[in-house]
Amino acid sequence: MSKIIKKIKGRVKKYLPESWILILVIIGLSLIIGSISPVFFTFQNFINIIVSISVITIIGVGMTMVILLGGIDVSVGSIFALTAVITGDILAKGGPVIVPIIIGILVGLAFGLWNGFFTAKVKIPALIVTLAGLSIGRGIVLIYTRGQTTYGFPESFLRIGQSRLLGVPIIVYITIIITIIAIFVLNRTSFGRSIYAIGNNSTAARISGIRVELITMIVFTITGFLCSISGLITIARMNAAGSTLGQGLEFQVITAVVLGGTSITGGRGGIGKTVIGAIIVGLISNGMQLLGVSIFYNQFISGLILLAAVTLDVMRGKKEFETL
Amino acid sequence: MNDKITLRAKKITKIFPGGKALDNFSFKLRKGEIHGLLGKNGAGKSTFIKILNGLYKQDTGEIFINNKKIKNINPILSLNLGLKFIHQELNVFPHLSIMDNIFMNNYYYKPKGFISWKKVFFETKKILEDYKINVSPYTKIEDLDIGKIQLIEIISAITKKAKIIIMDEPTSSLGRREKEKLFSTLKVLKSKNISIIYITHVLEEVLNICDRATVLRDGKLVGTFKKRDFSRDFLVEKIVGQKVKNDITDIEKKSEKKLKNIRTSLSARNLGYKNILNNVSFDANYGEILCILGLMGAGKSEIANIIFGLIKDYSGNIYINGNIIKELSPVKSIKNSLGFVTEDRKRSGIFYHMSVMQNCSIVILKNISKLLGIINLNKEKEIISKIVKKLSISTPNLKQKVKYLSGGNQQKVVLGKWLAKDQDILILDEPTKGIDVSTRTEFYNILLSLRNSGKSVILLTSDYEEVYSISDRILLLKKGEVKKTLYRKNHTPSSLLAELVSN
Repeated sequence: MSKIIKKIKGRVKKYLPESWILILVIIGLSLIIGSISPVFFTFQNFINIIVSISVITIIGVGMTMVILLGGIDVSVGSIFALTAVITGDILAKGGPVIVPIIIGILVGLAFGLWNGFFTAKVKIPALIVTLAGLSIGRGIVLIYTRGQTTYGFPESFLRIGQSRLLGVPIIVYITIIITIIAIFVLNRTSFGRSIYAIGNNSTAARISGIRVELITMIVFTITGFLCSISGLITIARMNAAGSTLGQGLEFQVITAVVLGGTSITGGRGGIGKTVIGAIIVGLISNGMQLLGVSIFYNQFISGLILLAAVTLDVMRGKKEFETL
Repeated sequence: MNDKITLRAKKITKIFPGGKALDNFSFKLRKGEIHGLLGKNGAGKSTFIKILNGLYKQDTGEIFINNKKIKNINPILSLNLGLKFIHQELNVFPHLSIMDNIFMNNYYYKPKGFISWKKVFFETKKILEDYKINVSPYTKIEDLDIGKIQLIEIISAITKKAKIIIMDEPTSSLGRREKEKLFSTLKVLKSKNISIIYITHVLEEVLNICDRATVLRDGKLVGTFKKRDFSRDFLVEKIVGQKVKNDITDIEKKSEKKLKNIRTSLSARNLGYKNILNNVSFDANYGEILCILGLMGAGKSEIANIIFGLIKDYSGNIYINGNIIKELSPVKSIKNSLGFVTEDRKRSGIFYHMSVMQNCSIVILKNISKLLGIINLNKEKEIISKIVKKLSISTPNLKQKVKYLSGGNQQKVVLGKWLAKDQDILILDEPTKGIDVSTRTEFYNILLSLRNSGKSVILLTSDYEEVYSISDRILLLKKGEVKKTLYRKNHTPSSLLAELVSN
């Protein structure tokens, strides 16, 4: 009898992912919102939610890697905005569309490399480097735009953000492809393995021959790149690039990553968890919209969610400590 | 010294998953005595100290202080009871001044509750003059050398009105003059009826200052002896025990192997590092276990860290297979077929939340991955399961996270990652520290079989029994200098201990 119970327990453990509490949260939230708002369980709303979390998810991929390393990047909102306004400005001036896209991506890569350089080589804590980056990036945005918004981009560019394939926006495909590639890279490549190793024990990683500095720089650069991709698809969707783009974005992204279950101390977690975290963040803001909760409550509720997420992480850590 | 007992431990037993750390251990400390606590590594000394400090709780047994039974000790309670601990690792506030460090939690106050800095300053100054430490009370601890820091820590303990001071190897980083100062201070404390538990490996110190000495072996009390009854040889015999364990004689048989053609693997020439290493030269050979035997602080870890490129500002040269290697780094060392099992597996060995497989394969990722660094999981599994089998790492499966393994198995995993890479020269720094006896024997057998297959093993250790069990050649390292080369066949464990602790 006890054998059978054990077997069932093993099965449940095997097939129910680690994040089962969060999946229950997603189901619960959906049921609550759906029971109040008839619009919730529609295909269109479903697509809306995914589009709304696409930016958080894409940048969350980079942020997950950074946090797995044991770092953090609070400059993502600024990188996002910077690539958006520069690309937008050049687009509005006309010429071939590919040029501003490439420039935008280069800006993102360069900014990420900058963060990585100061973290890995100069050995300043990532929080400080990227906090400075947040201010520097936003500062350049303001100097560059003088607070103005550019709009009116070429049709061919807007297609990235607005056209659909089989009824699903291109943005959704881009998000899914990036996520799948990132999951593969983290789980199956030596680069991904090295990220986990550094986050677990950077001294041991160094002794094991892992190029800790190089990998740290690459990870920050990837994050910069993903910010630029997000910036591009965002302005393509909105047909406008303003200086206030992406303010507070770092907050949402970090919430999604930590809520998903990637440990803030590094070494544990993954992209899949971040996707779940992002879905919850998206569901909550979608629900608040549908239920007509005032936008003024947004920040208040987001703060509570972040605190709840970190509390969960700390409790997980404690439990492990006890079983040692 | 008088006959009043200030601290009494009665039949203390503490069981860890690896075995009994303390087994029915009883101990009496008199008022105003310096009481040596002796025993080899793992004998149970530090477990006992941690119980007194409230960091561990004994399974059975009682502790009395001034005839009052003390239950549920915790660090704060033990401080309030007048116990003060001075550990091997320093417990100071490096960024604060000497006076803060001495008077922390114990400042002089003005009537309104403000600290009287004037008084604190002059008191500190007086103390420093008393101890002939010629620095200002404002000096930050981080600007002092380690000997002075240790003295400051001891002084701070005394000013906190400790009744019982427990010192764990307090002289490991002191110079001769500082040592003498410390000893005269201890004698002053004694005259003030303060009791001292003094843990050390250096028997000369015990003979010099201790009134009584208690010897522990394998968690059991061997005996408590009076000064007039003990001599150096007597203590060595008590610490080591009469008979050497059977498992070690087993190993002994295997280690009778003659080297035919000696081929040098790694050479160090005139290594120097700060004032820790001085002119260290040696050659290690393939097919040999070279032991570098030295006490804590002798410079063993520094040698290993230089070879592996973790210490940069050293002098001298390292040769591998006869080629000089400049600008050493872990990546370069690994390329030259070196492996390094560090002293502290938690801090620099294992990847805590990762699986056994991922831990072992971390060095061979390049070898088992194809285009774009994609890991060939089947190959990984194939190689690592061989290693796990070879080292008999006890784990339910390869996916088990390393944090759930026992210390001994974690250590095997750390060794396993270098065996997976099939490195030819292995450096191990205190690899069996804190590992139970049976796993230790397994570990020795592994090292011997590696040596027999032609690898070069360099073992840095303070454990003379370990050295006796498996070494082919022994370098005696003292205060950063190689003093002698010894051969196992000429020695017994006790004669090795004698060499280790002699001046």
